[in-house]
Amino acid sequence: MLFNSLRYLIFFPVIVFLYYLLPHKYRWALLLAASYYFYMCWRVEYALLIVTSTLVDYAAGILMSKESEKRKRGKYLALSLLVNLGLLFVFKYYNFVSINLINLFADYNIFLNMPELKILLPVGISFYTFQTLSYTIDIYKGRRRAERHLGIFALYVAFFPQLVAGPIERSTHLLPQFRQQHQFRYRNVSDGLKLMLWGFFKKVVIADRLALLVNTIYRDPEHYSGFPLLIAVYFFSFQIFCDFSAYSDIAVGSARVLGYDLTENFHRPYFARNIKEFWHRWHISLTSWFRDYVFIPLGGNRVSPLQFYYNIIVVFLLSAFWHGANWTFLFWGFLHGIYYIFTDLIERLNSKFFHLNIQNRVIKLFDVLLTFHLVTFAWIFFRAGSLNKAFLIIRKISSGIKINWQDAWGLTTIQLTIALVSLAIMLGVQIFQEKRGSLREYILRYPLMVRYGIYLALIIYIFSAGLFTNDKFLYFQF
Amino acid sequence: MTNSSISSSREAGLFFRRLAGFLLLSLAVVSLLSILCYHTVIKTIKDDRHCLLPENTEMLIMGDSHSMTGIMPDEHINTLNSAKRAEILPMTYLKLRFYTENNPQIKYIILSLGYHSLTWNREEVMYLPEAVSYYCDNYFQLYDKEMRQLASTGQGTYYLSWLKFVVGVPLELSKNISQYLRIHLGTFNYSYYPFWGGFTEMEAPVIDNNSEIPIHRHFFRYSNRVEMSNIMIDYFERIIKYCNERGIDIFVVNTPVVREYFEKVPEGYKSGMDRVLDKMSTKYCNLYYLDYSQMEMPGTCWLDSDHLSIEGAKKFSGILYKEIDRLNKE
Repeated sequence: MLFNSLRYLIFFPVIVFLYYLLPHKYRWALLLAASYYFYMCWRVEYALLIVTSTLVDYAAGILMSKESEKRKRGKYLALSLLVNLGLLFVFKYYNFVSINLINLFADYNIFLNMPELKILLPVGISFYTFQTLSYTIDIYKGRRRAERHLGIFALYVAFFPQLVAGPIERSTHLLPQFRQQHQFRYRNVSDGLKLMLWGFFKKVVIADRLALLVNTIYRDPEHYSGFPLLIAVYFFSFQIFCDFSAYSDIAVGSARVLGYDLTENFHRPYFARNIKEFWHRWHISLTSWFRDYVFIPLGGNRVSPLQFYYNIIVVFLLSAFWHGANWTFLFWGFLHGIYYIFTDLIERLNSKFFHLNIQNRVIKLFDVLLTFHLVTFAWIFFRAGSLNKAFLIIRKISSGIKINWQDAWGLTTIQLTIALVSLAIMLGVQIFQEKRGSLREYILRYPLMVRYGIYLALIIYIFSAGLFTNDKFLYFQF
Repeated sequence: MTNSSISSSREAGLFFRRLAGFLLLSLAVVSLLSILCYHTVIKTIKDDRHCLLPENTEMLIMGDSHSMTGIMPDEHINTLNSAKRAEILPMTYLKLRFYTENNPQIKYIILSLGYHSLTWNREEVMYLPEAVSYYCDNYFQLYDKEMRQLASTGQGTYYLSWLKFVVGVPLELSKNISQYLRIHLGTFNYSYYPFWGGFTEMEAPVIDNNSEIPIHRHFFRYSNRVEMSNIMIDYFERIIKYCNERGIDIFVVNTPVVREYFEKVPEGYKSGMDRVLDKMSTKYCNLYYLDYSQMEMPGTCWLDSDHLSIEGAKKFSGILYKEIDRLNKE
């Protein structure tokens, strides 16, 4: 089920109503049933994968908790890793690996016979796999106890607001919340609804509109000159942010209405002053997952600089591979790894020799713009279907820009105007948040009727300027 | 009752009171906006006066993606292509009436009709929520009472369009604003109607000649073959009858498909369509059926197993127009 569908607009209030109506001890069952229904609206049979993951990790958790020796717990962790990563491999990576192996061996006149699997990628498999893995790894490391209640554990794996596109929640944060009794709190419901509204604005007004141009141009970049390609590159940068952060906002907002607190996944990433900061602001739940379960076990930053940089590249390549089985993603990850290392080198040189701490506004703005452009450049590889296409886009853009506008690029002048006005609204809100904190708190100072006016204006704007074509969220594919 | 649950009920009470107030305010504002929107944007875009085709237009190409990608209007004088992807016969009928009533100069219609055009799968799209929303978005202003009844069969998405076009609620208003402004600026013409379509160049060479997927989509539901649709057959007859009454000749064209696709079309549909065409031909003298479904084409002429590429469209259009001109001379 999509958040931006009529079905969700009916489903969600019904669940909220029933949730607060039911006694606490039955609520987990309602949420679990609702979560599976939410997932099965997309494809019934793939719910079996979640069931498998749930049962294996539940059993692994219980068995690990009975063992006091880490070595003995290891075999159950291995089982959990094998099943979860095995499923992920089959559904997401098998075809990529087999095609590359076939091509590689063909160069040496060895012809492998590896059949292509014609299967759909289960929505959200990377998200819930990583979420359950964090649970079993935490138990293995002795950071938490195993969850004994199968229903509550199943709910932790499948909790509908964050099931298909995160935030990837840690068991230590989310699981205890299922045991807490959540009373109806005006503030939670009201804040949650406002966050959802903001998410809808970013998704249906901005992201889906920008997608019209981005999809048209990225589909056949060879047919377009430098200017439309440049526009598509910039637009994709905003599209992916608006799309993914919108999903997170709706997810966090939906959970908050029910009384749950989910991790903030985006913290105005395009206001980051360098790439390190960008990764502290972008897809925070995934970045922290890789930090805790890959980077730190590799030695983190308590190793030699060379080993540290090696760790960074490994983490970024794994993160890229998490996004998808394609060389374009790997190149995108590698590029970010290089950016990160370069930023770190500059910081080390600065702290050793120059001791500069520039707080000048113009320099800050320059840093933000530079970081934004580095990130935008890397998105070309993320979005282009192949490396060839990505390099073609870069070549065409660098060979010259001739400014003009054509409706055939996917957006009419009116649609373009709406997109730009909406982007300006979003950036304006983000600038406010950067400088003065929460806009919601700020609006609360005004009388009720003024607040109603603002919310109503936003709702009417969403309904009249939004595109309700039920476009899927970009991150569903990961 | 504990203190916590008392405070929870109080907060719920406050929330629902405020929600009710907010909804009432919303209702009042949306009603006012709807009245305003209906009398400005919707009334303007519903105006039929802008559908005048160039005076010399004699031949209009209609149908779905097969004629949209396969029949080039530029290869024949005084010809326009209005075919639109996924257009089903009831929509073609409404569109035909719309353009011909206002453009009496039209003498010939070319209509693509594949083996899939008369199946239940084509009828089913009138009831699927996403498809209903697509057709309503693009064709709603053409809907007559009968079509509204058909499209509304239990579909929430139909009522969203109804709210937009009949009541004037400013849902997705941005989609209609371009049309509205163009009309006001005087730059609007027949091709800006959302149901127009038009010939689309598809340059890509063979993308995927696998015919399994389109065959399944056209003739099967899960693993069962679907029936012919009485509604589609009825609308096909209405199109011919309507043309007949207006003295318009109609050339029904079965566009080329790859041999593999043709061979996989279940036999019942071929004979079924032949029966329908035989019946119509005896009833209406203005109908000409031109079957090119088995026409051999080189690989680069195909976009996929049942659509032509630009190269294929150029070749096929030449052959088709030659035949049409020959029939007209006779």
